[in-house]
Amino acid sequence: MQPGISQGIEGFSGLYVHGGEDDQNLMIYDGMPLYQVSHLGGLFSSFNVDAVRDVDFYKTSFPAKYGGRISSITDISMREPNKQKFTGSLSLGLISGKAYLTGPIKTNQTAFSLALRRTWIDAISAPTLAIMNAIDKKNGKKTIAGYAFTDVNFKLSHIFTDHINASLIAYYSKDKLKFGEKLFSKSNDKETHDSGYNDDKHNIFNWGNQGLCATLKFRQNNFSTKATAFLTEYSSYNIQKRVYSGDNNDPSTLDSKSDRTDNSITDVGMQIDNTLHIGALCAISFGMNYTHHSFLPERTKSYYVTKGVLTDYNNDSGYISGNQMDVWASAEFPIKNLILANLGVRYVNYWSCANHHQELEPRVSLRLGINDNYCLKLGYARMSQFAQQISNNHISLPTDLWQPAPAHIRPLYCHHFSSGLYEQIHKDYSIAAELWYKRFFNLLEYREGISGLNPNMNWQEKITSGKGWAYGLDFNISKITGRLTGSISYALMWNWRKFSLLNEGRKFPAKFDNRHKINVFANYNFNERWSANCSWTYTTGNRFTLSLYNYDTSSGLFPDAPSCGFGDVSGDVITGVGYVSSRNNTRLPAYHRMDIGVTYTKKYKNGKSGVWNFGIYNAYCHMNAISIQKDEYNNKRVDNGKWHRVFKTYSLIPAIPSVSYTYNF
Amino acid sequence: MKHLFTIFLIVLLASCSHETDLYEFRNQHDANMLTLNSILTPDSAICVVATSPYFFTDIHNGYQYVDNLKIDLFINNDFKESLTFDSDNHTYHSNIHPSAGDEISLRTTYKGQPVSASDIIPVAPTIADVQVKRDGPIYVYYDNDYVISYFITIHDNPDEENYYFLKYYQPNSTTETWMGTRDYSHEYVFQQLAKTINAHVPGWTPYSESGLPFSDAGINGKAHTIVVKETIQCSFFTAADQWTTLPRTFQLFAISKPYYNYLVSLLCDDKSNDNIHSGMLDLGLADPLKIYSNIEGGLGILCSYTSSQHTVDVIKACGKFPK
Repeated sequence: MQPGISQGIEGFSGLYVHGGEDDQNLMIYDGMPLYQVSHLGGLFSSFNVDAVRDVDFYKTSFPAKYGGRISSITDISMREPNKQKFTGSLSLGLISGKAYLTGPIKTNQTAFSLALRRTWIDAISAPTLAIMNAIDKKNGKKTIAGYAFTDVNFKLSHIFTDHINASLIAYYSKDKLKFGEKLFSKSNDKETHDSGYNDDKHNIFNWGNQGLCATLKFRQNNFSTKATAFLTEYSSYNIQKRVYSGDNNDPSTLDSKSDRTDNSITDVGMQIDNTLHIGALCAISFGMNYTHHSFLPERTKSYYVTKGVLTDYNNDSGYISGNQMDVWASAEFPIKNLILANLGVRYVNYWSCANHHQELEPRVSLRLGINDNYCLKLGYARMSQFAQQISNNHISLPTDLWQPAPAHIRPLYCHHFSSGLYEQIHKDYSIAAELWYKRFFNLLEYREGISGLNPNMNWQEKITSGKGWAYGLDFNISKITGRLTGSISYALMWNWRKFSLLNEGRKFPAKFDNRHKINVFANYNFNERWSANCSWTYTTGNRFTLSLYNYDTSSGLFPDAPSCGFGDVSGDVITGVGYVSSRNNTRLPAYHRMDIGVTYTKKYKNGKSGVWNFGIYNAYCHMNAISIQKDEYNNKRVDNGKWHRVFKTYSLIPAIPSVSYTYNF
Repeated sequence: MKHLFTIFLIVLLASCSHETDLYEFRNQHDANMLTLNSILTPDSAICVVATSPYFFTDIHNGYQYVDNLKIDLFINNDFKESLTFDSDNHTYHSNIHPSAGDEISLRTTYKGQPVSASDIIPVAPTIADVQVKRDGPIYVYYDNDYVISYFITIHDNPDEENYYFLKYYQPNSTTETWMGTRDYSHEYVFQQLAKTINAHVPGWTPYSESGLPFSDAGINGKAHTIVVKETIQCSFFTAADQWTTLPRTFQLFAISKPYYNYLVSLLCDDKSNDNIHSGMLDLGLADPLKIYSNIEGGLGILCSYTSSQHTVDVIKACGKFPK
């Protein structure tokens, strides 16, 4: 992980670049823009690495050809299918498996590749759950849990001539998480057939992307052009369901309640990129992009069946169309052999039935060569974004709703300044130090006290906008050659937000205002067969809103006055209510974790190879906190007749060993 | 090796929940906030309770009263007196009864910090009429249940924003008759409340024994008939037909805007709902809501109400319950 980037909350992996949010990262998968690509747990890469050839990642100095997100660009290129012979790999691990196959359809002309990946956490956790539920059965309880994701990557590639080739890509990724519990009469042998009660509560979270992309590339001499057409769909839903039966023999006692919230974005678009190289150091690039977005900001369907009477309720925002037309141009050229300049501009025109916005985004990148080993880089970029994923929880659920810029709020945009000093100390070592400053406008948040899942409110009513600013320093030293390679990086960051309707209009630290971050990574190749790697990360804890102090309310003091029944007095315990002094007033404990991996590679005589990977995630099992709960009721204890209340941290992921075997053929 | 494996297993299966102390976040600013609570009504003399907040994990079995304050009382910006501390009740009080329309202000200083608040006593509301309709016996919980619908007509003052609170109850509890399950969810003004507090409208079952607040949004300046219901469960053994009286009292409060905001924020912060947001609030995963306070430089609430009530007898209005 590079300096200046946080991975968010453990177990809910995300990408938080230079004070930005997880939704501000543009993920382009071989030409397809994707939304919300993270998997749960933080144990799995967002993409199947077998299918990936290379990744271009930008966190500063954004080229003009990229737009649509304000914090980072990740441009992922798929591996070219093998046009000569069939090759592939098959990998089996404790919690997941994957397969990759590529080969020619017509030798040297048409080829395909197919990559599949699936977790089987749901399958391997089933026996554990079964044992747990067998024990809990006498207590009338059954736990429901399961998680799985699947992704599929397909590429078909065809060479027409030496100058023209084309490809067709299909991508599918889907995650499903289910959890809940079922309570039933302890006396029942079969909880659904005998008389007695049943109380079945469960939640389902489902999210994923799918898309198709066709690309035509032309290259002759110094000129190249690439035309892309794509169709992508991101969708998510969460279901909260409860079925209660007071007497299993009496259908009239059945009560059920279900809420389902859907969110989706469908993009259809085309893009043309052109590049003309003039000499070794000069290049001109230009192109255009048109994308039609179809947003479903929120569709909540609720139904209730009580005493045989069905009541249903829909809060449907309907589909909202948005059209985005981008035109861009950039030029890279040297100035007196001292400065390499890359100047560009991107013009963005966005219109929908409710609003029309035009943005002009200048991009500047200057590279000043001080000598052969030192260079100084300066960069400026203005970026804009027309949809945001809004969250009002600390863990940033993957099903948090993506919403387009509302009619009354301008789209999100950002000014990004950066300057860096880069040095090649020795052929083995490089050092980079970078200062950056970022200013955000029109960030969206839910209004104070409004839940994103509030079913009675139009999605636009729930939202308010504000600004933010973040600044910091990234430092990195890398050893890039030799048996021992690795890096040490350090990032220092401040990250602020200011919303007129939040925190009484006062500035407050952002959720990911992680002051210090240290990453250490080392990889050692013992020989051709054995290698080992180790990484350690430390991050100052995320910001968190917590009422540390409680104060007394009027409920217990003025018993005759109107009250909603929420008092501060429960029996002899006077709890009061929490005093929220300001937003994000507390920090979670610092996050740190070590991962260890060992790889053994065996090459067989037939040219094939087998790779064993052994690893431990969170090797010293530091239970990193993801939240802090004020436990008022469940954990109180008596000490000399006094009540104690406690703060409790919740953690998710202990040490997780992993073993996998990959056969490359 | 065996021991190593055992230790590894223990570490691996370490609990996912731990107690933690957050002493590093103790701060004098929060600890020195004065909490003032006072609910004013023309029926009572002015009374103020001053307490201090406590760090959540501190032992707190009783109110931590602050008894050394000089609290000045102003009515319509005229200084009236400094409140007297009653050491028996730990309250600051005055003999003055506020009147509707009065602006009551309190000013004091605590640990060098000025603390003040003010509120205007609302004008008493009027219940113009209460009508009753009984349906049943019908099947709700069992075969012999009754649904009583109450139609309470009020007149809202068009000149200002008004806030109300409605509660209904059986004035004299007896062993023979009882109050059934209250249901506010069919009424427009409470549906607007549900919208504000992130609750579902259909199936929203507040069943609040204490009552619920509402605003005049959507009914401003109009005569409006509020419809609330009560479901009375009558078993086979209930001699409902023998009941000769079934009184119900409707108490309508006019509450001040700070009072309304305060009650709504308490409802929003309710962690007992079984929706995802409440669940996340309970686990500390969602941002807690700041409970509304109008105490400048402190915490708590200074608010006010006036009320009127109307009692009806369901038996008189609808006749005796059938056999």
